[in-house]
Amino acid sequence: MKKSADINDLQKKIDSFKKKEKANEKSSVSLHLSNSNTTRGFQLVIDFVSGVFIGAAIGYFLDLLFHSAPWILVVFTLLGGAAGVLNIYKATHNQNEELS
Amino acid sequence: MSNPLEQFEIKTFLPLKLGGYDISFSNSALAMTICSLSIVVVFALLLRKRSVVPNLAQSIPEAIYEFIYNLVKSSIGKNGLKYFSFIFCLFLYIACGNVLGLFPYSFTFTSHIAAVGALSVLALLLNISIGIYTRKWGYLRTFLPKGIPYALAPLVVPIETISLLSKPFSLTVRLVANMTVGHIMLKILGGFVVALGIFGFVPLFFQTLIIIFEIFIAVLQAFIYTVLSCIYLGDALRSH
Repeated sequence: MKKSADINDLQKKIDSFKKKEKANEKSSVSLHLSNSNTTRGFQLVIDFVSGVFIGAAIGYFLDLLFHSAPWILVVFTLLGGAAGVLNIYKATHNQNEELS
Repeated sequence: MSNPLEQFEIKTFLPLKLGGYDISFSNSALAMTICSLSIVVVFALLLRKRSVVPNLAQSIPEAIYEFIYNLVKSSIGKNGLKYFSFIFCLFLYIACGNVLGLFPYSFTFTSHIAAVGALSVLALLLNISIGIYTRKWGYLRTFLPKGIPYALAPLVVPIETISLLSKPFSLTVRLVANMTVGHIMLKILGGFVVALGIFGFVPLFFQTLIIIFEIFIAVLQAFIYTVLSCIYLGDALRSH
């Protein structure tokens, strides 16, 4: 009788420890989100601008290569804008996954 | 007042040339060397007496280790632990570089696009190689995620390629901008302390606050850089 009570106690201890571990895991993930909204916004702006910038840079060098200025630059800047939006989507998507 | 941008100037100590390339030993290279050496020396000193129950000195590196370990595990998953050493070194290197740059007369190499950019491009190349190594041809799915019709490929593939290539750029700009802004602000306020004479204690007070804030920013930016590197590495290992 006493033995089974001991085992039950042990099981309870293990369960509570596992719960604590899970809570700890969650808190370590939520650390990613501890930045202020301004910092977060600033980061997303950089994500967007870097897409446009890299698109424009690729377009510019392809234009130099093919002597077709400014057509590839125009197309790739637009594609870069789309890539910037995609960057923002990916960044916020990751965040939403962490939240849920 | 002295020029606030003077602190970012590269000064050559030892001019060297290799095959037409300038590989001179500059103040930036010296700062990187001091940073790497100080990490090794501090860790070796703290871990001098190793025991199962850690004392205070031993628990500091262990806490950093566990922190990054949990970070890698939670953002990449168990199969990402193979690359833990790279992420750990990246975090220590950037954090130490940022913090050492706050010391008087030192040089902040993390405020230079060339230094951080090279690190980010290296991380990107590593991500691509790891992605190709683990997923073989499946890695090409990065450029055309599942569920997108092939008719859209001419539009989606360039967008995804630009998105991939813009990652090191955004990583670099984020860290460099933060470091540069902080150091310029400190320098300008420092100039005010001297210029205002007896009333210099007002900007001095603010400067003290900003220094504390900058130490926090230095570690936080290294942390953000590491988290994002982890997320990008996770993206390379997983299909969308």
